[in-house]
Amino acid sequence: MRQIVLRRLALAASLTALLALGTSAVAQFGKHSAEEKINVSSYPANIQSNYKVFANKCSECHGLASSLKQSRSPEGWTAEVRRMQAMASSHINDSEAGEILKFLAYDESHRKAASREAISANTGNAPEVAGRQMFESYGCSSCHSVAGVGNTSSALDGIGSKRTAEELKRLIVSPPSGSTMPPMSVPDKDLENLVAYLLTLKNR
Amino acid sequence: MISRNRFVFLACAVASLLVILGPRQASAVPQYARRYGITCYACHTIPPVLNQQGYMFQRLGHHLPPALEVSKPVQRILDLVRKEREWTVANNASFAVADFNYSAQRSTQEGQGSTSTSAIQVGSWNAYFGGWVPDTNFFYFAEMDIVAGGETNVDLPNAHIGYVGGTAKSSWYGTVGREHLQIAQGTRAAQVYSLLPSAPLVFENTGPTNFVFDQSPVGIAGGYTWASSKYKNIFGINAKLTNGDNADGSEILGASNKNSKDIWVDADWWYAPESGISFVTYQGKKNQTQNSGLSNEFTYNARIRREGVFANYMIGRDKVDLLGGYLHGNDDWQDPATQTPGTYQTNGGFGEVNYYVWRGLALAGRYDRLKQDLTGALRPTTLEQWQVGAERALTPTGNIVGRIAAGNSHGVDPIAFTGSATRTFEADIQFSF
Repeated sequence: MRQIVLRRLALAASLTALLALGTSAVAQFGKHSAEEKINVSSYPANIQSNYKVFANKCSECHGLASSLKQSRSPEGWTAEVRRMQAMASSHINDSEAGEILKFLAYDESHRKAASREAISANTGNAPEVAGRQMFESYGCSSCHSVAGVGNTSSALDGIGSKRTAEELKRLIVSPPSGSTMPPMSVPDKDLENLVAYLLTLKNR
Repeated sequence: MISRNRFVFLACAVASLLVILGPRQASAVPQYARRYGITCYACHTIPPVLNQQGYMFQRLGHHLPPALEVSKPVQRILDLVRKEREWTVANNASFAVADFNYSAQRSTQEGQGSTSTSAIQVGSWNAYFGGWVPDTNFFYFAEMDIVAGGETNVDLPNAHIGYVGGTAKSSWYGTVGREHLQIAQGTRAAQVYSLLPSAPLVFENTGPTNFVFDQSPVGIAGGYTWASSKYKNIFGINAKLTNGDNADGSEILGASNKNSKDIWVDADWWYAPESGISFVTYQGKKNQTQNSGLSNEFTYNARIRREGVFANYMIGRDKVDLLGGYLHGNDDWQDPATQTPGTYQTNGGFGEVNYYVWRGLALAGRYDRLKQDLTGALRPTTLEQWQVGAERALTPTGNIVGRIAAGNSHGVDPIAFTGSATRTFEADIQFSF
């Protein structure tokens, strides 16, 4: 009798947990999928073909949001794709790496550049406001969070009280060796805006 | 009027279609994927089958293997530790790795007719706690099984702590505690977990000596791993010294009067990206009881020995995986009636094909054959088993997986010489959060 009660309790508990987790999973997917896709229909046909390789290969391990949001120089992306080729279970051969790089270069010089220009134009002389949008535009939230939004494994709350503007610039452009953060190729104006925003993140 | 058989067939067909064509919407990631913001496919072909990266993840003390670029400095394990994300409960624990299944089984036993059973049940529900001790090379892994085989039965098949040293290229580790034989061992074909619901017979068969290869012994283990640039080749060796088993086959978790330890050794070679070969050996001793509970009960010290080789090779642009394995067993055995010493010998093998149609969908088929030969028996007997199935990830990250499989097993008991056959159909869905 006791066993039957225990079994039923376990079943009820697991179904409740499943329902709760399923609900949260669906909610997460909604957020995730919106970040995963871009419309490449206006891109040249060869770049659209490159995008397919990029989408197929890169989503295998980490989803596309981080690559679609981060900005890097052509050399930076080349180094990053080479690094990915040297990971365990990497299925990216040299030809596919070349196609991925072509897409990333095109996307960097068109969609990402246009997005940053639009941010600068819309925010006038408020660098911290522009910086906040740059923070999203450069994909900083794929590794960092602010007020619990973004990747909470590396929260930036309070960083404005701990670092000076110069230190922050140095950390962004040339992080210390051994750091997981890649050196960011950021135009001076964007860098000023980003730092202005980060300096507003004071301890409360 | 639809006949019962047709109804069952239609239900199975609908279930199969739901699994294969079902919704892909929902996403969440369990602990390791949460920690690094990666998908399950980073370490699994389809969960639970580990790929090369998953193997290295375990060998490096639960740290994501870094890129091994030609002519770039190789990171030390401590470098990996320093780059780890902030330690949180969320990236160290998974509370709901559960499997819900429907299974139908029809068994026929010689002289007893047929019986049919079916069940919809919580097949398994496990919780995992695994990660690293911040700022140190220590790591830990614990698995609590709350439900197993449809029964609520709390168990702790994994509970160990370890230390890993060296570099990402050349590393070593040691662990102490209870550890499933699967942990950090074996290339693809040597893994107990496969795309099909049942593991190969050679891992699961319990012989007259009550020894089963698939177990979680208590002991100490150590291993060394070397990886070439870009992980083109990985060589790993692992050895364990364990308590062994009680007379009934359960693992000795505490003190016992058995005054010997058992030895497990395996050597693995991964050839990039996903092919490999593993050599496995086990040498142990157990206090075996015969005629348990009867007036003529007796106990003897049976030596248990296993030697095997398992290999897989991927062809067709990593779409088709050909797997095979062979395990030889040579155990001491005493006849229950005469107490005459003898041996229980087994020669078991399997061949398996996995076809990865696209990411998250795979078809699999396996044939198993196990020949058993007991001293004093009339003749050797054979067990045969085949299974076919499809496994489909239902989320882009691969943390919800549906599976259907059908199988047949038949053979003759090596002692009683009675024949039996079992047909099975299983549909299950596994959630990992």
